[in-house]
Amino acid sequence: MITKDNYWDPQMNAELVQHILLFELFNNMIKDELPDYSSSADMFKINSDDIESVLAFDLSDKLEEPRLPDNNPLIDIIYKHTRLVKYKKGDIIIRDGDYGNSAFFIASGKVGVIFPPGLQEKQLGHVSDQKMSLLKTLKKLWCNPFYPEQRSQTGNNQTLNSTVSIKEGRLHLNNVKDILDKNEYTELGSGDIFGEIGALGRTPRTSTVVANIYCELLEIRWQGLRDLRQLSQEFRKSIDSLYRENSLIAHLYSLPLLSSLSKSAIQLIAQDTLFKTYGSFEWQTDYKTNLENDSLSLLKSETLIVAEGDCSDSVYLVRSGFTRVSYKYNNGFQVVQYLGQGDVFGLETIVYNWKNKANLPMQTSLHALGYADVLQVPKYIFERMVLPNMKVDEINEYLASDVLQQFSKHADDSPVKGLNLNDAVLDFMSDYRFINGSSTMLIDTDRCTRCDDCVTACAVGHNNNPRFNRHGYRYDHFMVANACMHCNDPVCMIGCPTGAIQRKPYEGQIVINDDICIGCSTCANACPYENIRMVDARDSDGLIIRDKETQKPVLKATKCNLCIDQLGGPACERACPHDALKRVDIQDFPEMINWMNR
Amino acid sequence: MKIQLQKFFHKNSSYARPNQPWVCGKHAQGYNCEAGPDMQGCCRTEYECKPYKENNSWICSRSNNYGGSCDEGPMPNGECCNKITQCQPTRSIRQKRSLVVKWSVFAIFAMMMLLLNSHTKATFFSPGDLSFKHGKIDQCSTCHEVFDKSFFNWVKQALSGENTIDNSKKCLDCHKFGENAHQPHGLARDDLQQLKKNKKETNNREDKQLACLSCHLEHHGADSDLTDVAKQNCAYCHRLDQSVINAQHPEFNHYPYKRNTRIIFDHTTHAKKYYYNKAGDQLLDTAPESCQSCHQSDSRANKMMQHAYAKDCKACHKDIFEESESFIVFEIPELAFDATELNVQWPEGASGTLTHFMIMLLATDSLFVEAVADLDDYFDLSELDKQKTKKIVKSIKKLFFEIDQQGPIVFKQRLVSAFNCQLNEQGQFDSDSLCTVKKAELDLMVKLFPLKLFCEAKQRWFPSLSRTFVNTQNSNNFCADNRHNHKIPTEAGEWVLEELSIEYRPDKHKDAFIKSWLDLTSQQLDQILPEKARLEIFKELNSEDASVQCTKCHSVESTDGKNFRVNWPPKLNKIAKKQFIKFNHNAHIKYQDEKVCLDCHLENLNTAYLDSYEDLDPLTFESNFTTERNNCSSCHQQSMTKEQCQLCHNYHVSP
Amino acid sequence: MTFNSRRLKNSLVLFVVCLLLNSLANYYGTPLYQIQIVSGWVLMILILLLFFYSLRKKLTLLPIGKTSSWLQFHSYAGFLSVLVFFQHLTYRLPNGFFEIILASFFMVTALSGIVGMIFSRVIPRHLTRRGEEVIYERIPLFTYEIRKQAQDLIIECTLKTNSTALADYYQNYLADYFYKPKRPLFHFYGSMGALYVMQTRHNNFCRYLNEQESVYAQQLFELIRKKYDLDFHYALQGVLKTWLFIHVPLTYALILAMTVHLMLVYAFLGGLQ
Repeated sequence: MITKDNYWDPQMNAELVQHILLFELFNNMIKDELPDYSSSADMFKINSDDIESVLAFDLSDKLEEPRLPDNNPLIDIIYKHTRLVKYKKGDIIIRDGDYGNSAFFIASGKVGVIFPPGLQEKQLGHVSDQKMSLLKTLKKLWCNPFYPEQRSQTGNNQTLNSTVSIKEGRLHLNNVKDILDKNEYTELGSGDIFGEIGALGRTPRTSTVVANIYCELLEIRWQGLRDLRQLSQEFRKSIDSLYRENSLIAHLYSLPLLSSLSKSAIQLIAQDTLFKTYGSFEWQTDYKTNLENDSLSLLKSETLIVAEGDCSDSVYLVRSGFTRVSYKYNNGFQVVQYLGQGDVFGLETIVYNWKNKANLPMQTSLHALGYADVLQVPKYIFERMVLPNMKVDEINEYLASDVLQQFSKHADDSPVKGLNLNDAVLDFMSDYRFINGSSTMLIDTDRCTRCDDCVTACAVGHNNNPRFNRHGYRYDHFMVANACMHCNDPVCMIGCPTGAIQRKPYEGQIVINDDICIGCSTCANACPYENIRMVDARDSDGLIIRDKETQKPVLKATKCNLCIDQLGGPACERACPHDALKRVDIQDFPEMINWMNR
Repeated sequence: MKIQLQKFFHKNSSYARPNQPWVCGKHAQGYNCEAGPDMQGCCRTEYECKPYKENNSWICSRSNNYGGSCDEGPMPNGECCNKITQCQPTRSIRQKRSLVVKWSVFAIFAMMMLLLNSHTKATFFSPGDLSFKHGKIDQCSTCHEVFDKSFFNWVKQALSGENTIDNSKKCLDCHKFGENAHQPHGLARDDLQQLKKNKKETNNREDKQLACLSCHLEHHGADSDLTDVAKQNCAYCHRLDQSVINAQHPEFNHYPYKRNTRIIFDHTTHAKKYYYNKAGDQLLDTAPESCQSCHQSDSRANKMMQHAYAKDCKACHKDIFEESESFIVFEIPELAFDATELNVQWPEGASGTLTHFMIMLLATDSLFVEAVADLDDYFDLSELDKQKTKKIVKSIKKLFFEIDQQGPIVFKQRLVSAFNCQLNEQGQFDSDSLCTVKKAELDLMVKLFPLKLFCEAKQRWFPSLSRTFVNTQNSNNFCADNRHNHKIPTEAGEWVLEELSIEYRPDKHKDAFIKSWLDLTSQQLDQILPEKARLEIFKELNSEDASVQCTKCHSVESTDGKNFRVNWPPKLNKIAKKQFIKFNHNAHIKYQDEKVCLDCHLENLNTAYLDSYEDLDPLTFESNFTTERNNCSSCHQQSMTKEQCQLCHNYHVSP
Repeated sequence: MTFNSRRLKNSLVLFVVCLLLNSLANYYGTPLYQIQIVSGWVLMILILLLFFYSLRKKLTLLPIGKTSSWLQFHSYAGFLSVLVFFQHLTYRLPNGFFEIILASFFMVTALSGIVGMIFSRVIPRHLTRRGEEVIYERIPLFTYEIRKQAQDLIIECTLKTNSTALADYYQNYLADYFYKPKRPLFHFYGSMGALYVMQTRHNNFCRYLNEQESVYAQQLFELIRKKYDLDFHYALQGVLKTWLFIHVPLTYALILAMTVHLMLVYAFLGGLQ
């Protein structure tokens, strides 16, 4: 039963559904009356009768809302996972570098897709990462405003200028024609679809798309895309081939493991690679409830990708997301490591088997932490193309890997495992999904004197406003504070309507552009670690600024920005007198352990 | 049940702001109003929200961060339904600390300012009690001139370059150290330069002043000793290092350091030869048994003084005086012509020569001067013609006549003239004169004059003087009036009247006559004849053929060969200035045997001790003894005994 | 680098600096009365350098070195300054009023610094190992919440069980306890004595309760335990915040007095020109 609880667009109704069903995108799906052979469940059958009944709705009767058929997969997708959005000429639809989880189908109008290098930061409403001068820094030390969260009402916007502005909650290019003329672009028109790779792959957008004239777009969120892929083989094939052509090959090229291969070899590999998504895409919503459980059930809730003891027939490349590598110990699982984007799983066993002509099964299991996009490359490709060309040193390195050593003696009387402190830290980080963090704030509470110098220093750098709280989950004597971790998988960035939250290209800090933030709270609600806080903007007397029409307080999303505009870098780390605080890249596990074991 | 107080969710836990100075007073009740305290710390909210009108109804506008819209909604008249009683905001901990700091700074500053300008500043700022010797001083300004002035003058003083000297100026009000008190050692710059020429370099502070307070540290309590000056202080100028005696102190060579001993006494010959009998194996009875038989420490326990002649030397040397011969003082010279030829009365058989003493007395007589003017050898009268001889005769007789009439004062008068001196009306020396002799010596000369013998001689040799000369005024007829019975002092020797001469025999040590004549004739004179005479007298008295050669033991000094100085005492009694060096003999030799002296005063057997006196230069000398620095440094090492500079050296050497 | 190796390295540096200063003093030849002037200036410079640490804490944004490095310098320079201080005083107590006050300012500042350092190393470990991590400024709020929970619990119990026993017990023995932080000095020693007393009393009282009431009583005791840990945090975090109330104001007082001392010394001293 379709209820108001689980659909995306509150305005969605029967009339709109009817309108959308007529789009070209769905024509082929409807015509394709044959069921999809990839699955036998009825739920994936498009029932053409239902469709016709909807198309035949009489909308002139305003008194009663026509009732939509239940359990029709296509209608469900349209109802729950799509919305019609209108863009004026000049509105920026998607921005290069942003994260989004929706694809766009152009119902009417034209859009311009700007090729790299694309627009300048200024034109895209990006926060400048130019450091403050010494004089300005000194001025800041003494001239910070007294009241918290002061904002200028008259508009001291550095972002919004003659080029870009906010109109009705959207980023808008003021002179779109000139801008397009100056940059290389291509035009997409009615019937075209864009943005699906980014939505499915959880990767940053690769280009900026601007509305050239007034457009009507059907925005399909990723759940809809996922379901459509399962619904229509054609759709899936076209998406997959696009993915293979554009995204996968580029990704394979970038892997150091395959860097020595030729272009044709890569293409061959790309042909045969399977790509799958495991776990929950929206893992952040389950995250909070899962935290209440113990580690065993947490582990059980993680999706298994490859089990220990399975036949070793593929190499698994993690495309995005996180995975946990573990092996069974007694009744639990001992984590070995976690793998993120670009990491490889299972290669040691394949090398061993190839070298020794053996048939060793998988020595460890692979679980998806939250969610993971995994590329599964068949073993024979490696044996044919990669391993013969590998240097002897590299081969020996794989053979000497801990994974193989450790577990060849696995069955014997081995000393009690599971009590290694470092592994316990790993478990903690994995359970809480802190492995996502590239700048996690770790506080050693055995050295922290609770002096709040870190908070004060942070406040000084942000107009007298601290941007984190000195509390959070603890493991032993280390606390992961509620400060933005600048995640590798920035869930907060998904869905920002104005693109105020953005990722800087070089060092990857995630910053919120205060000028264009409209306070919708999407990011704050999305962040699973509660590191983004909404604040009321205040005037020079410290009183809350209210919107003139709605009288609602003007909210702004705020979070740690790693002191991107400061001369010295993160002020918190530098302000701690007792070496208790450090911004740690959890991926750099040895460095973190070294710091913990000082 | 697990109670978690701190929620992490962004809606439950907004930012903690420890940097804000004011905290809402109802914070402890879990209440936080939207506005918060203002800058002055006043609560400024009356209502929880400010309702706004929308479509004819009032809506609550409370922010979501503070609870969101309330359930009750605003009152019908548009007032918020939740009225707030104002709180009293409290200060945050940081603010409190900042306040404590500001107040304490203010308090200390105010206290300092008050105290620095108050009446009690003396007791408060005094760095300690004065030593008890300065106990009478109760005003700081007695020593610190600037003390009674205002605080700003103190600052000015602190910044001036003269602060150290200014604070030592007042010491000189009571402690007199001469004009150069603030110079090193209290000596003038030139003196210091002079001393430095002879010594190792010091570090050039002669042009800078040295305040008293550099070494004498006051305000260290009543029991402190101001004279306890650290050895390091010397080290600064004299560039010395730790173990001074061993390494950097000059060697003690060239004993007795400055000049030869004033009394010529060859220790070696005495100790090895003269004290023994002819065979050389037995010590004479009169000889001293040890060094200390002659040398005893003075009252300061400093120097080992010899005894007087009577104790140390007389036992062996009395024969010199007891068996001395006399020498002629007055003699009737042989004339070139007969008395009858000259038609003068002259004693018969005169065959002597004019003595230099007589020439001295006659040198101011114009008659005599004319007579001998052309003579090279002025006491050889054989070359004179009759006229001149007659003049000589007359001048000699005149001498006798004047003495007869006026007494020994003539003696003095004539000598006064001879020695460039002038007597004023009171009979005192005129201070403007070029007098080179001392009045006391001339007076002594008068006392020593053998008036009785002289009168007898006059009677014998020139009986009829009154016929030749006329009595002048003030003539008293000394000889006639029996005033020649005045006593000759005991220190005088024996006068002998021979047939044609009066002779003098010194019969004891410290003969006044010879001493006086030696002293009188040691300085150069202007007039030619007296100068010649005095040189001859000096030579005569000093020669080995002299009756008693005082200068055999009492050394003579001269820098130019014309002016001499006879060293009568072994040491000058009046010390012109304090010596740099002090050495306490007593402390070192007490309770030890007699040979201890030789442990330090090592015998130097091969020196030409006596020869070194021949050049009359006291600075060239050879000594019978040497001392070595090792003698001192074997005990005066840093580890064993005190090694203070002040132990052996004085700093204050100015008079 | 580990803390031990850093400690060793910094101690060695301090030792070398001491040796250098010592040899400098010897080489300089300890001239007339000057050694105290020299040591005085060295001490003054050291104190000013130590003071600069508090200025550094205010200049958080400038890239002038991490605060932890500055604190290392501050600690070791502090030790050095104590040694120089004793040398400056020539190892005896000063005589005059003002100088005694100045010396005591320094001694108390130095002592408070050493004590504060000990606190900073010892207390955090205890805080970590007991109770929930709380922000000091929120403790009154949390106390209020616990109190509210306790009161709600009591009211619910009274309503459900028709008995005022627990409420009376709360009113007589626990109302004051839940009102504000208690017994900071006991908590400074980590004493569990008061909790033990409350536990014993609680156990005694539970004799008179039925099963339903016991459940509430049990929950109430959990709240008591929670409040006890909260008081512990309040006391010890309070110590960590308040020791600076002695150290920092005295620093300023010391610097003021030191300036006056400098002026006095130069206005009234002897020594070389």
